[in-house]
Amino acid sequence: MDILPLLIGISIVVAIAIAGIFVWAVRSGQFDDLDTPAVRILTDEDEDEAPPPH
Amino acid sequence: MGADACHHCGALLGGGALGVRVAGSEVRVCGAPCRTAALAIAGAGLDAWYAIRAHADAAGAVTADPAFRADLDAWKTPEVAAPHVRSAGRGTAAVTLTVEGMRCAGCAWLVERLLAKAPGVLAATVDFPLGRAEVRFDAGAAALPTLLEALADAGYRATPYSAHAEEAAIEAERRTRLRGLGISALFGMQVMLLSIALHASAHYGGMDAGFERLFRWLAMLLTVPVLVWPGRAFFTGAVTALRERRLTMDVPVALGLSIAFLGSAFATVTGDGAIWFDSVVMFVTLLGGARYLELVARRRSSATVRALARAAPLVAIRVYRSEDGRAGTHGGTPDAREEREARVPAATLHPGDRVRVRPGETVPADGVIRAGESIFDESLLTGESHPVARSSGGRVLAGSINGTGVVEVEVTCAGDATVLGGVLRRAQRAARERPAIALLADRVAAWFIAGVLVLAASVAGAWLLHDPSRAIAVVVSVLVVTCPCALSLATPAAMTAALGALARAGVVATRANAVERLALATHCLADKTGTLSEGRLRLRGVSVAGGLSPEECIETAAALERHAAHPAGSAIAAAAEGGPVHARRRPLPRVEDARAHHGGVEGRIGGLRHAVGSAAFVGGACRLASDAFARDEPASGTGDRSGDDDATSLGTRVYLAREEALLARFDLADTLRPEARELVDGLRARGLETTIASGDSAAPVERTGEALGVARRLAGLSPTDKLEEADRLAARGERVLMLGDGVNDAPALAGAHVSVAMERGAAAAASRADAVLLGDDPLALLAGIDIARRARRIVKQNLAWALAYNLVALPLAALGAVPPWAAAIGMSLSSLAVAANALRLVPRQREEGVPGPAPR
Repeated sequence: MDILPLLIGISIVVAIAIAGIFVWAVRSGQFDDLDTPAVRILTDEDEDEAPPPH
Repeated sequence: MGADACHHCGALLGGGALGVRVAGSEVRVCGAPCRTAALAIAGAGLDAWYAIRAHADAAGAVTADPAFRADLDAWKTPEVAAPHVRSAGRGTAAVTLTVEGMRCAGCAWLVERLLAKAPGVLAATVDFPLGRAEVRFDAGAAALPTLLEALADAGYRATPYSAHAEEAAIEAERRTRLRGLGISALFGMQVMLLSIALHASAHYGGMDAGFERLFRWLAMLLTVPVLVWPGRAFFTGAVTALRERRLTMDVPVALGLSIAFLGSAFATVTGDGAIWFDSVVMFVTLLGGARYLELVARRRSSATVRALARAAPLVAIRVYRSEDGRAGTHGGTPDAREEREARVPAATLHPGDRVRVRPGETVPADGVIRAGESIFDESLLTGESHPVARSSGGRVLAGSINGTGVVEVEVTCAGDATVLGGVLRRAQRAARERPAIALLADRVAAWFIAGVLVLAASVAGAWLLHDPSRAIAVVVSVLVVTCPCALSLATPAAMTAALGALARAGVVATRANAVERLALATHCLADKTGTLSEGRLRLRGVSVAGGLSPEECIETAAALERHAAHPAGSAIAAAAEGGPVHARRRPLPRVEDARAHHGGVEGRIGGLRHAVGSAAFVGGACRLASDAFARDEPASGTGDRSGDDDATSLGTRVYLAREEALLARFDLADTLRPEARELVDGLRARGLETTIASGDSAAPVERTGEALGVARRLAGLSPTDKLEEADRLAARGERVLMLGDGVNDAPALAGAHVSVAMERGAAAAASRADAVLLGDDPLALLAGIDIARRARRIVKQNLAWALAYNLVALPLAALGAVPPWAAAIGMSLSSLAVAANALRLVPRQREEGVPGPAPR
C-alpha cells in the first residue's frame, strides 16, 4: 500500500494542473462562444485553401 | 435555382438583367448591386459560398446605398471611429463589428474570409450566433471604413459594436462564476474520492488508521481552496446582506458552510468525530451551478433588451452657423451660404446644438424643429401606427424616423437623457430583477434555517445532557442533512429550464418573474392596434377611375413611392411585390424627375406627370379640379368598409393622378392578425377571459370584438384608462395579463399582474413588459402560458420534495440515527432529483420545425 501516498500526490498535482488550464481557458475566452466554432469547422477546410479561380 | 434567377440573390430576372463573368463562367444577375456583390465574392476567390450557403436569396451590395455611404463617411471621421477601435499593440488595432445579414454558417464563413482578405487585416473571427466579427488589423495599412466597405460590397451591413457597460459587467461575472464552478467541481471530485473511501471504511471497517488520518487531512486541505475561492461569494454576500439587515440565502449558506467546515476541521485535528468536507464542496458546487444557470438566463434576456439600443443612430449631421442663434425662419429653408455641416458622433450632441435630419434618417436626439417640416414615424416609441406630421416648433424624439422632408432640429436632450434613453435604462433595471418566487424561496429558506439553527441548538443541549461525546457529531449531522441545497436549487433550476423553453416557443422573458406570473394569469386585457391587428397599413382596396387596371395603378404608385420613405408607400410597394396577380415579378415603370414632397411624390413616367399621395398633394401637383375626388369616390372598386372609419387618420387614403386626371384611390387599413381568433379561443380554453382595451374609436373596436368573439370591448381608452381598467379587474380578484405593443399600453403593461409585448412594438412597451413575443406571433403566448404553468407545477413539486425530505431526515438526524455518509448521500440525491425534475421542462427535439438534422 506504499504506492497510495504517491498516487494521491499525483492525482492532486494533476487536479491542480487541470484547474490551472481551466482557469486559463475561461480567462482567455474559450467558453465565451460555444456555437460558432462548431459551425466554422463545417466549411473551413475544403474551400479555404482552394486556389484562386482561373 | 432556375436559369432565369439571379446568380447572387435568387430573384427572378427582369429587364435589367446583367451578364457577369465569375470563376470562368458567365452568369446572370438581376442588377448592379448583385453584380458588385458577385464580383466582390468571386474576386476574393470565395464563390464556393454559393454552393455552401443554406439559402438561395441574399442582399446585393449595399455600397451604393446613400444611407450606407453617409455612415461610411461618418466612420472616416477620426472622432467618430476612435471610441470603437482598440489598440492591440505593435501598431495593430482591433475592432468588433456587428454584422447584419448573416443567415447561415456559410455566411459566417464568407464574412470571416472577406475580412481576412481585406488589405491590412491580420486576423478575423466571426461569432455567428451573436452576429459579430472580431477583426485585428494593421493600423497603418487599414482603417475602419475599409473593413465596412469590404463587407458592404458583398451585401453585409456592418457597424462597429461598442460593448455596453452593463453587458461587460455581466460578462465578467459570468467568467468569474464559470471559473469558480470549475474549481469547486474539480477539487470537489478529489474530496469526494477521499470521502467515499472514508465512508466505506466507516461502514465496513478495515482502513489503516494512518491512511484514515491522511485522507482526512487531505480532504480538509482540498476543501480550503473551494471555500476561499468559489465559496467566498457566499460569505461576502452574507456579510453584505447582514449589513443591510436582510436575510438572504447567502446567510444560511455561509453559516452552514462555516459550521460544517469548522466542525469537520475540529474532528480532523482532534482525530475524533465525523467529517463533512464532501458536503461542503458539493454544496458550493451545486449552488454555484444553480447561480451560473440563473446568470446565463439573465444574460440572454439582457441581450434582447439591448437590441433596442440600436434604435438610436450613431452619427448626426450637426449644423454650425457663423452668426449663431438666428437661424431658420418658420417653414423656410436656412440660408446655405453661412452654414457648415459636419458629421459628429450622436453621443457628443448637447442641448442647444442644431442637427439636420434628412428623409429616411433616424432622429439622433430629442429636440424641437426649428426649420422645415416632415412626417415622422414614431411607432418605435409610441406604438402609433400612423406617422405624425411635425413642422417648425414641433417636438421630435430620438429614434423616430424622418419620412419626407429635411428638417433642422434644435437638440433639447441627447444621449441617455432622451425618452429612448430612459426607456432603455428602465429596461435594463428590469433585466436585473430576481424572480419573486426565488425571493420567496430565499425567505422560506431563511426561516427554515433559522428554525434549523434553533433546533440544532436545542438538540445540542439535549445531547450534551444525554451523551456529550456524540453531541458535536449529531449537531453537524442535523446541519448537513438539512442543508438547503435542494431547496435553493428547486427554483432556479426549474426557472432556467422554463426560460429556455419559453425562448424556444418564441416568448422571451425580460423579467425573471414572468414565468411565475404568466402561469397565474386569469384575465387577458388585449390592445387592438398592433396586437390583435397587425398595426401596419395594408392595401385593402383599389378604386380605379381612369383607364388603367388596378394592377397597373398599384405598380405605377409603387414605382413613385419608391422615392419616399412613407408607410403608405411601403404598403403599396408590398402589394405590388406580393400581389396575387403576379405570377412573376416584372420591373416597375421607370420614373424620371422623381421628387418627394410633404404629402406625396411626383415624377414623370413615360413623359407624363404622375403624382401619388394625399388628396391635397395630388390635387395640387396635378391641378385636379376640386370636385375630382368627390366625383370619383364611388367608382368601381374592391375597397371594403373598414377604410372609411380611419379615413380621417393620416395616410390611410392615397390617390394617384396622371396629368390632370385622377387614376385611382387606394384604401389602406390595418388588418386583423390571422391568429387573433385562435388566440382568444386558446386563452378561453386555458381559463382566461379576454377584454379588448383599445384607444381606437368605437366602430373598429366593435368589429374586432365581433370577429373574435370577445364580449367585453372598451374603445377610446387613454393610457391611464387602460391602467385603471387593469386595476379594476385586479380589484375584482382577477390576475390580469396585459397584452400590448404601444407606448399607450405602457402604463397598463407596467401596472398589470403580468404583461406581454409584441417584438415589433414600441420600445417603451417592450421594456415595461415581463415578456416579449418574438416574431409577433400571438400564438406563442398560448405555448408560453402552458410552459409557465408546467414550470410552476415543477417548482411546487421541487419545493414539496425538498421540504418533505428535510422533514423526514431532520428528526432522524436529531435522534442520531443518520450516519454522516447517509446524510451526504441523501442531500446529493435530493438535489439531483430536483434538478432532474426541472429538466423535464426542456423541450424535446422531435416537435421542432428546424429543417433537417444539421450535420454535426
